[in-house]
Amino acid sequence: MRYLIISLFIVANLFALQENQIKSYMDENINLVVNILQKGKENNISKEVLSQKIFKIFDPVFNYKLMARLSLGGKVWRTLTQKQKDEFTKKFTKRLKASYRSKLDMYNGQKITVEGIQKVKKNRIHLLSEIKGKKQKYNIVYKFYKAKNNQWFIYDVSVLGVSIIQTYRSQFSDELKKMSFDELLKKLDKQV
Amino acid sequence: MRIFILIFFTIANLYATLPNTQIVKNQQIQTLDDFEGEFEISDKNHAKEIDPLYGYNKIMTNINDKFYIHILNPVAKTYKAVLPKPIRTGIDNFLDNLMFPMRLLNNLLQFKFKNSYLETQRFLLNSTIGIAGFIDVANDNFHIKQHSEDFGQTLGYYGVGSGFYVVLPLLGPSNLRDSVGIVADSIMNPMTYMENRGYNLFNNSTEALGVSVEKTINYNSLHVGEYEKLKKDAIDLYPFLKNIYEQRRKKEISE
Repeated sequence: MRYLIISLFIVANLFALQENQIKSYMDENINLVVNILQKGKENNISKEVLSQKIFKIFDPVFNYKLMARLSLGGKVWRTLTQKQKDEFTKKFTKRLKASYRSKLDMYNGQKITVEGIQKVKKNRIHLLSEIKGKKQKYNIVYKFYKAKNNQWFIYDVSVLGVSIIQTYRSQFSDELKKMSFDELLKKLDKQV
Repeated sequence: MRIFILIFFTIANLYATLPNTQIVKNQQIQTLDDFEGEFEISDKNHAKEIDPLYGYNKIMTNINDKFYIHILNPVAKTYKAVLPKPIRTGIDNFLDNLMFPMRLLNNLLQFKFKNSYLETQRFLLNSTIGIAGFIDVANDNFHIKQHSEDFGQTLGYYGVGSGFYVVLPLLGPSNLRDSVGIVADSIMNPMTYMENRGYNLFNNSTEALGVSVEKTINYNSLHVGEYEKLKKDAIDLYPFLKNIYEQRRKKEISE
């Protein structure tokens, strides 16, 4: 009986990604994703189904709430009501996922590999990966930060040196010069 | 005991089915100032760069966008339908191979000797076994990737700042430094036409223009739909393209 409980505890704790597991965890899961994409391509599976499967794998390590907040910037964030924050986070997450989903059909059998990890600061780790196309290599960097209890989460992804959060940040700051926050929320809705 | 296990199962299940929301809610976002610093540095750079051509740039961004969507893209699609892919890839390889002097010079100017060597190897292999550059044997058979460098990157390497943002007609996002780079590179490029230059491939500027139009259409026929995909991510096209261009160039120069 006791063993059962102990093993249950261990299973529940698997969700907490530790520093020394980042590389193997990502390696394993990127492989899973490549398999999903490969099978999806062979069997003509819809992007919706594929993306559902992929998000299920990666959702536990992405901190979408933090990503939403960072893309808006602390200055703006602090002026928002809780309701606005929640709504923004929801719409931003939806948008991020829609953007990812729309690109899935560009997958054409490329190899995706984990190239290594880089500890940039004591609480930041960059996981370097590469999509190997026929002619070129594309770098993708997953940026992790250390949260409470030594758990690590992704807060930004950069593709070919372009940080996704930074791109949103410059757009949101530009938009908020022209419109109110609630108008921005509406705009987010319109385009997804 | 049994009840305890039952409760545990329920909790564990909740945890498993709602991993994201659950974890995110549980974790405290504490080191936020830390993050702000990380992105604010880039923001400051962003804000520092004044945009004196904002009015013009914005209009040119729209013109380029319309040109791309309504003219270049349909033409490239038709072209794609007419010419089989191996031929289009061949033409792309051929024209790309001719840009070798520009890549070599800029690699050398940045003291990238290994890459200069690899570029030279690529040029020799592709020009001979690759039948005048039509087949990229260097990549396909010898796994030697291209190491492209342009004069804008060379200037950046020597510490020249990007200057203000400029959207060029047809060519798209650029900045003061990279626009100078484009002019310098076109002098190196045998496919442009310049009087009194010893290495013109063409007899006059009309021919040279024709080839550069062909090059653009051919290139885009191999990348149909990519711009539209990227554009879909934009909330506002102008800051979106501007920011991507700036980040991308910064990365290319640092490499």
